[in-house]
This record gives sequence, structure tokens and C-alpha cells, in this order.
Amino acid sequence: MSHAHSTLAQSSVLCASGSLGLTPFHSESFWAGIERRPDVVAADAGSGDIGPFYLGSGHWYNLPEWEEQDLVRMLKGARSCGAKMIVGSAGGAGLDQAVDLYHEIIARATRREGLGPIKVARIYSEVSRDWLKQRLDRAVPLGAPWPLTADVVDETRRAVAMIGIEPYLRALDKGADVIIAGRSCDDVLFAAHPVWLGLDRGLSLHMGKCIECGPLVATPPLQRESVMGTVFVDGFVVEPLHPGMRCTPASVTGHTLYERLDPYLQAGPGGAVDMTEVSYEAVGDRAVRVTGSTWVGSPDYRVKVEGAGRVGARKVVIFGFRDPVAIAHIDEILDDIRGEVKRIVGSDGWQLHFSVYGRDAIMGDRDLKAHEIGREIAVLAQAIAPEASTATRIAKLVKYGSLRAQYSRSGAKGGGAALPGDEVLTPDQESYRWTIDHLVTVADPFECCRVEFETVA
Amino acid sequence: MKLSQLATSLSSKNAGNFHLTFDIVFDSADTYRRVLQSGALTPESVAARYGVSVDEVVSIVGFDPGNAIKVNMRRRRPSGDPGETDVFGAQQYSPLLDLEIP
Repeated sequence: MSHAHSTLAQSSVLCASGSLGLTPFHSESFWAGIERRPDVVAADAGSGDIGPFYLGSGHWYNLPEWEEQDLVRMLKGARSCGAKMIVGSAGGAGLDQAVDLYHEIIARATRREGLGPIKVARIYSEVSRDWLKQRLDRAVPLGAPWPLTADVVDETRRAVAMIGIEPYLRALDKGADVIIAGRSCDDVLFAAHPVWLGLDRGLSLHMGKCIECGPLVATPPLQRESVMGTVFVDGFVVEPLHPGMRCTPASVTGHTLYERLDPYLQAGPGGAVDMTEVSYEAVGDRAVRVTGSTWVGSPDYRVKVEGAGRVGARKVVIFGFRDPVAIAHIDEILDDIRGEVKRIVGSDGWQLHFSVYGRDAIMGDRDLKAHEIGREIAVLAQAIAPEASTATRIAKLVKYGSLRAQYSRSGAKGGGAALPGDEVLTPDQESYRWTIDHLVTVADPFECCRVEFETVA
Repeated sequence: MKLSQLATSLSSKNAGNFHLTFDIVFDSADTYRRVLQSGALTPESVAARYGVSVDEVVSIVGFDPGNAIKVNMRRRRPSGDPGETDVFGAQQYSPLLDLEIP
């Protein structure tokens, strides 16, 4: 299969979904995009946004049926128009196991639907504790305020490197039709093909950043719709495929702000995209042309490493109060409960968090209006301990304590808390925390990942 | 006037797992410049509205192409830490709503 477009010096990338597998993407705008015969059908499947649990535990993030639905739809679309299919940060956290799962889904669908032969590239970007320990002196904190030490590595269950564009370029060099990658920078999987064709890296990466969240670059940002980014020699154009949506300079610049500290500089492995001289201009009434983004290479190649470690099992109790006297005395009630837990379970080796909704659950001590309490409050109690049995004991003491709350010191008669059920809730999610959020300098882009190829008939 | 009356949108979200970013978007370059030049939005004034030390307010950035001001702050704790109640950082912006802009 060949692509006869290098003479046209452009690359069009269809972003099928802003978040692969999260909920199914809508098919009409996707197929409208396929009709334009893009060069690439791509989607980002992961994010650090989802918290440390999925990375640390290896627990699946998306429903298997939705994961499969999105992947198979992308595969069929890509095969129908000769486009490459590229998926990055498989499974949400970008773990090796998710790359394998996606490969299985793709291979099964290929055989079942007679879409082969296809050459699949798998890019794995998990890094081991040994790998990290060998590089402590080449690591600096990024988001984490602590240094990377051997102890921090030992506390880490799983870690991944956010790979750059080079592993994708190698896959394209070797003729891959489908690329499935673990944790990656979200822009590179969309920028890979344009860069591979020789188009400007700054423009291509900026385009990738614009379309990687799908509808959020357009207005209204109707969920689960596809958008297209096309890179030309001197700029790129973004547009949505849904007729009820449009890209405007405001919608594109609005998205440039999203989830980043600096709207003028996007750092990545090997350099940064400088957006200080970027112009955003309307093309018709539903597309935007962007020019002026430039790539600035750096002497060192540094990858961000994300790592998560287990804190413990988690048990939850939710209880509420409507009695204004109870609400006025909620701190004493919670102190009494905590005191009882200490008396029975001991003082150490567990955590008990009370979040008072209706007061300051969402902002905690940053809520300077916490005194403006409502008529009703709910307390989310989370008991965390290394063993589930300890967490359960604590949660049961909390539940009992909420029912026997003593707050009638002012003379008013008090009642126990309102509970949705006489139960301790057992979430699937144990308690994890981010342990690693650091930059590690590597000698080359393949020091932190490996690329494998397989032809599926 | 209050910031919420001048801005067309005001939102918060995580920027990485250790930081929050607040995006304040205006519908015109004039309003954007007025707020930027008013001196009302500073690390000190933002820190005061959250009861945090000024070091927690990492930066305030004017984004000309988008008529937007971005305020960056460290999260209370890393996202998803035990006791988390806003894992995406999506509901942290309310204290900015009634900031007075001269």
C-alpha cells in the first residue's frame, strides 16, 4: 500500500476521539472524516488526569466493550481509505499490558473482518524500578517537589516514560500500518506522520496539541465528535467534522490554554514548541489556520516519567446531617469518631479523611467561605490502611459513631446521622499516590521504550 | 466590577498532577487589557483569596492571542492523594469570581 501524497506536502490527521475508549465516539462525524481520505486516523487513549490508581495498580480504566468498539471502528475507517492508524497512551495509563490488549483487539478484528495483512508496531514505554535506580543522578523533579531517590522508586508500583515522536517515526519508517503505543506525549502521535513526511515539527506538534482532545478545540464542544488537523508547509488548519460545530480563532486559542501552565511554550522530549509568534486566523466560518509555531531543539533529551505507588486499601462511609445543631457541632462529632477509632485500632498505620460537603469538601482549607454552611451537609469518610481488614474496622467504627453522634451539649435533643444504607462501601479503587513526576535525561529516545513489529494476516 | 462580570469564561483544571491552572477568558482585547493592566490580579491578590502563601501562586500569564489571563497555582496535594475530592481540579476557581476589578 502506498501513499501518493508526498508531492502535495501536506498531511491530514483525523482525530477519531478525544479520549479513546472512555465512552464510544460518535460515528457520523467520524465517517464524514474518513470520506475525506485522511492520511492518519488517530486517537489519544490516556491521560495523567485520571489519577495515580490506574497506573499504579494496573486496573483497567475503560470498559472492554467500549475500548473494542472505538478501536475496531478506527481500524475499519483507516483500512477503508488507506490511512495509518495511530493510538497512544493505550488503556488510559499507557501500560505495556494495554498495548498488548489493544494489539489483541486489532488482530482479532483484522482476521474477523478480512482487513489484513497489516503490519502492526507496538511501542512499550513502561520503565522498571531497576531502570529508574540506574538513572537517579539523571533525574530532576518536574511536578513532584521531592527528588527521585531509591526509596521513592521502591515505593513505586509502576512507572511509564512519556515518549516523544521518534519511536513513532521509526514505526512509520518500517512501514507500520497500525501503531499502538504506551504512554506518550499527547501531541506526538498526531504529529508523527506530518513530521515523517518532512513537514515542520513545530507546526505538526502544535497541530497535535490542538486536536488531541477532539471536540474541545471547536465550539460548541459536542462530545465524542471527530475533528481534523491538516499540516501544510507553512501552517496547519483545524476543523470539526460535525456540521453543528465550528473552529474559530477563539475556540482554538481557548483550547491552547487547556491543562497547561504556559500557553506560549510546549516542552517535550528533545525540545519545545515556541508559540510566541503564532497567529490564528479564520478560514471560512468553521476552520482556523495557524501559522508561526516553531520547534526549538534542546541539547538534552529528557522524558517525563510518571510513577504511582500504593497507599492502602480504601473503605468509604457516607453520612449526612440536616439538624442545624449537628451541623454546628460537626467538628466535635468528627473528633469524637476519630478518638474512638484511635482507642480501638491504635493511633498509627491508618488514615481517616473526612470531607464535609456543604462546607469545605471541595477546597479544604483554601475555602475562605467555609463558615457559610448550608441547611444540609454530607460527610465522605475515607478509611485507608495497608490491609483491607483494618480499613474495614475503621469504616465500621465511623458508621457506628455517626449513628451515635453526641452533639446535644447545648440542650437540644440530637439524632444519629442519615445514612444511605447500613453499609461500608468498598470501592474497586484502592488508595494510590503519585510517587514519580520527574524528568529523566536519556542518551537517545529508545533508551526508555522498545518497538516491536508483527504482521497480522 | 467583579471578574465574573467581565470574563466570558472562568475555569480551573489540573496542569499536570501537582498544579492547577485557572483560565480567565474575555470577549474582547479591550476588556482583556483592562483587567491585565488594572493591577487587581496579582500573585498577592490571588493568594489572599485562597488563604495560601504567595509562593503557591506560580505565575500569572497574559495570553494575547486568546484575550485570556492564566493563573497558575500549586495544588493542595497531588491529584488522587488520599482524601481527594477534586481529582481533575475542576471546581477550584470560585474564589476568583468576585474579585473586584477597578
